[in-house]
Amino acid sequence: MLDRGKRRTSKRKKQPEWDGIYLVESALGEQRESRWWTLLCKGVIVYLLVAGAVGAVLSALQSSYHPIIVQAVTAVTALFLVSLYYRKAWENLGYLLFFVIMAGVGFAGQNYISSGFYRVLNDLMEDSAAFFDSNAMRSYGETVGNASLSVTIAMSYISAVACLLVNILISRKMRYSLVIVASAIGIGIPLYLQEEPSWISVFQLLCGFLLARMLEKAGHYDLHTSNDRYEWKKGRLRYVYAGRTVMQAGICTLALTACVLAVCAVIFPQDKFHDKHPDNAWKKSTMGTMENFYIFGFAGLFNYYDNTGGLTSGRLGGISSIRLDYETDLRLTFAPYDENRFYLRRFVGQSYLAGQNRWASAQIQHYINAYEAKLAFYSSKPYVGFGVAEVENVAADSGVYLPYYSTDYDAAVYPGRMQKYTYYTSGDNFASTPVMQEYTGDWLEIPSANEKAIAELVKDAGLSGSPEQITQQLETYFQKEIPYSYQPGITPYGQDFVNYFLQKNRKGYCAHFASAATLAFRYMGIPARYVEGYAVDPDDLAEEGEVRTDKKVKDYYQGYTKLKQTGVVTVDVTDANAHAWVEIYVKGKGWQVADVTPASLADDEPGQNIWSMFMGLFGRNGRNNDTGNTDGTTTNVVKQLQDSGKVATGAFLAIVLLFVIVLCGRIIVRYILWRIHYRNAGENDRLIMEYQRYIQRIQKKEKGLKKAVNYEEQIAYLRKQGIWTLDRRERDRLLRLLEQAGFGQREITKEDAAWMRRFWKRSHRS
Amino acid sequence: MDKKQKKWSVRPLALVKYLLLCLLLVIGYLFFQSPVLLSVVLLAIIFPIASMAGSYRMEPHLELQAAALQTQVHKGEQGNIGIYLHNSFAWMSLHCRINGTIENGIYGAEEDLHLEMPISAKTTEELVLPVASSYCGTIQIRLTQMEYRDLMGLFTIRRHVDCQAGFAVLPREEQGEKVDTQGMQEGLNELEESRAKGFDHADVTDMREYRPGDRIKDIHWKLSAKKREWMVKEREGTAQSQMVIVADLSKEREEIEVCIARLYSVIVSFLDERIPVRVLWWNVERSDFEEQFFTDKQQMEREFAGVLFRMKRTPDSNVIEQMQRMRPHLSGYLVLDGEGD
Repeated sequence: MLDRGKRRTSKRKKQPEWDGIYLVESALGEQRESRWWTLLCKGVIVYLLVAGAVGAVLSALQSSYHPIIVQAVTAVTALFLVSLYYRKAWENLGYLLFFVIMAGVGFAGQNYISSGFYRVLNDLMEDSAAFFDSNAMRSYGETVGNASLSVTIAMSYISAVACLLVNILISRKMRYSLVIVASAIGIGIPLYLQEEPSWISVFQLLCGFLLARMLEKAGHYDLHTSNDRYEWKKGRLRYVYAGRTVMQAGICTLALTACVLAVCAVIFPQDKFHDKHPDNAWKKSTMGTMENFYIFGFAGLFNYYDNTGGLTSGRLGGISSIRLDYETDLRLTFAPYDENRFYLRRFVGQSYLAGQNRWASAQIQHYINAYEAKLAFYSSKPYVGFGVAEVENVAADSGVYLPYYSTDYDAAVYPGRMQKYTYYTSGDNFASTPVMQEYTGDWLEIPSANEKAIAELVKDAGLSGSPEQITQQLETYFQKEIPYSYQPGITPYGQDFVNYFLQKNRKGYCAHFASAATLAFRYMGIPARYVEGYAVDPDDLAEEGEVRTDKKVKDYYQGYTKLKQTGVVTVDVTDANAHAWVEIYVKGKGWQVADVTPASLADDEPGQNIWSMFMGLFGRNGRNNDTGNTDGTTTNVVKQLQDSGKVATGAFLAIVLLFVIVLCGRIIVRYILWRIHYRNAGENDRLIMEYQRYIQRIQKKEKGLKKAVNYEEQIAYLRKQGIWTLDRRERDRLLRLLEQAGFGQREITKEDAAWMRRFWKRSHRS
Repeated sequence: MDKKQKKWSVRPLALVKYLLLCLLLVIGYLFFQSPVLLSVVLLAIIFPIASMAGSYRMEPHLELQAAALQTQVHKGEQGNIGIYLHNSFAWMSLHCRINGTIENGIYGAEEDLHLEMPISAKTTEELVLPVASSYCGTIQIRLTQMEYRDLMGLFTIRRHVDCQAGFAVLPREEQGEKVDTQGMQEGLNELEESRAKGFDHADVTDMREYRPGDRIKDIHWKLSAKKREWMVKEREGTAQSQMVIVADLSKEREEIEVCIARLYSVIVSFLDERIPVRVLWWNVERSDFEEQFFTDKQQMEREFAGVLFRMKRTPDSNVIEQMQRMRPHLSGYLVLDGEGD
């Protein structure tokens, strides 16, 4: 091998060269292939990934929606977004248009989108509740009644947004890993609950992944704005488009995936698989943590509470919200004797353990009132009655469910069994004899950690007077100052349940009020105890109760009754009847129920939707500003529209400004880079750079110049068009110098360089 | 095309990443006990096997060819070399790299050439390589190896191939100069005849009457005296019937470039005068001169390219010495190099 020349991928001429032989890159453009095919393939990949992921999640949760509409929206969006890469101008304008459309659709359909999103979350919560056998799950407020429509709209919108993100990742860089991880997390959530996605959505997701992987491994996925089939890049001549090959690979992938999944669907049917493959010990060990995750989200992984149901047996703080399933826990059969609530007592808390957020169970289960009442009944005293309550345990925990006042505190009722409890009613004129007075010293303890909060409560509520008066004062205070809520939120880990309720959160449900009230009573010197159980209202009897004509009243109640007429009623007691209240010891009357929990309001709190959460990022919480006008609703809507309009205008201007900055920035950066290369280049390279710049400027006006493939043709064209005026000698000299500068080893002389520059300057002026 | 050994190789990083992914899937299945995940695991195993099997079966059905789409171009003009990848099997690959070399045959400085083409099922992929040269000579490409990946990008299959194609790059017509052939002719004839006295390549074939323009030296004095009119010798020697030109290819590239351009234009000039030309150049491998005889311009246009294909730059060598040694009978010839005649 003699005289090895240097191979240069010359920056001067931008074409590859081997020892004087150069690739005519402009002629490469004669081999063309429409880039639509490749863009179509990328669009199909985007569609498969997004539609597969969304479809998998929705099918796993068995959400009601219109799959064809969601698929169609996803497909159209994916193809639209990928087609934007056909031209630069389309890309810039297309994204702008897309943002405007998405903003408009989001604003117009915000209720549907929010409601649909929450519907899906509620489906997840329902499945979680069923899987973990818990009713203490969060519930999100849906504002649209037609769940199928709202889910369809919401998921279509989310799919469109996902298409935007996935399109950027796939079309430019074929980065599918992030998409797969996000899909895996999304599908893993219902999968943990043994909710399987549909085979079709799995098929879509897998095909999308395999196609993306194949293109990524092949390395030929860059975006181009020309149809040239080949390009020179990274020191080699590589193909840009191979639409036919990609299509063939896609067909093979689809066929093979379909075959494998079809066989698996037959061999491993989803509905029977879990029966044959129960959860393993590894998964079971994660149940507690995962339950917290499902209830509380990621916060639950750090604020760890044991699973607590509607009746917590004294364990408090671990419930973020109550979600009622209205399933029957107990079935109660009894004869009502007055218009008050009928309580079934399950748990009595003696000592409140601050910091541990729980009530320690009472060790002594004496119920003086029961004995007194029993004695009074058998002594035939007035205003005393005797009743029998049949409690059938349908789906509640095993335990004793005592009506007031019963001595059957050892009679537990187990699931599937029924227990009869006898009880004695005392009426309003009951009086205990001094000898039967109970020791109440155990019921006055207040933890030191709660003293300050309880003292503030007592002061704010202005508690004073008799126990009955204090009860009324507390009830009034709670009704006014602290609203009832099924969704008070979890007590942050490490904080005291009662203190957090009274001082920070200021909302809660019966357990909050009962705990705080118990301590408040004790602070006032009134023995009090925390009680949990079920409470059946007369309304429940009227709406849900079944009058038992097959039962005799006298078998269920005898003695004093405030009702003119009574009968035997059977009623289903659900988790909605679960309750916590206070018992206070009243001298002369014994233990009395003090139920200070305020009534829940129909519209207890405005539902926060995903948009208000989003707007919160901009300092707006999505709530209406109360102007205090008589026509407050109209004003608020108008103001909301104005605010939204300002945001939209600001966003649009920001996008336009960004567009201008990017455009100008590109021009400036390109110029700076050219200057840097020019400064570092030798004389030959500089001349060629100047020459190329000059030619590019002319090419913008003279399109025909682009067809000239070498110096000679360029010079010939420019002479022919009259742009250059050269005689033959000058032409030969210029050609010789250009070839020497471009390919030769010898440096151009200063005189020749000066001549060339003078020539260009002269030509530029003319 | 000569099918030689093929070689499999694994792409270790890609394979390790893929195995990690499979491991994650298996762990996920063991944890979730999901039929969907089980099917994904099975697919993750089956698909690369199918991909590898398809690529393996495809290999014997691949054929690579190269062909120049024209035999010659002028310097600076574009010439095309077609590269054809035939696949008669129903499988494909999205990444096939073809390695080879490209060179100007006269200078023998091979440079690496890398191409990437797709392999479509039951299709011939075609790539036309448009090249041009700034130097006269030949553009020759030689393809030596083909390697492609399976669809999953886990394996590479390599195969040696051997196909080549090329075309000649002739000097531009303007490059040549019009040569004063008359002077060259006369000078060479006189030199040759004066040296070849007694060994005359210019044989006397006939006698005829003097015509204006005939040389004095050709006058046959005795016969002229006898016939009382001027009679001249009719000669036919190689000095008159052909021009011998020796091309000196031992100089630097720039000089060789000028040499070839001059050779071209000199040959054209002589052929225009209907003077056949014999071109000689030194062949290092054979240690002898190669030669080509041109009789007319059409033949030259057909065969000059072939001359360029046979020419090679020689190391420092004294052409004149070689000529004296190897062609002593050729005492009259024109030596062309890039510096002067």
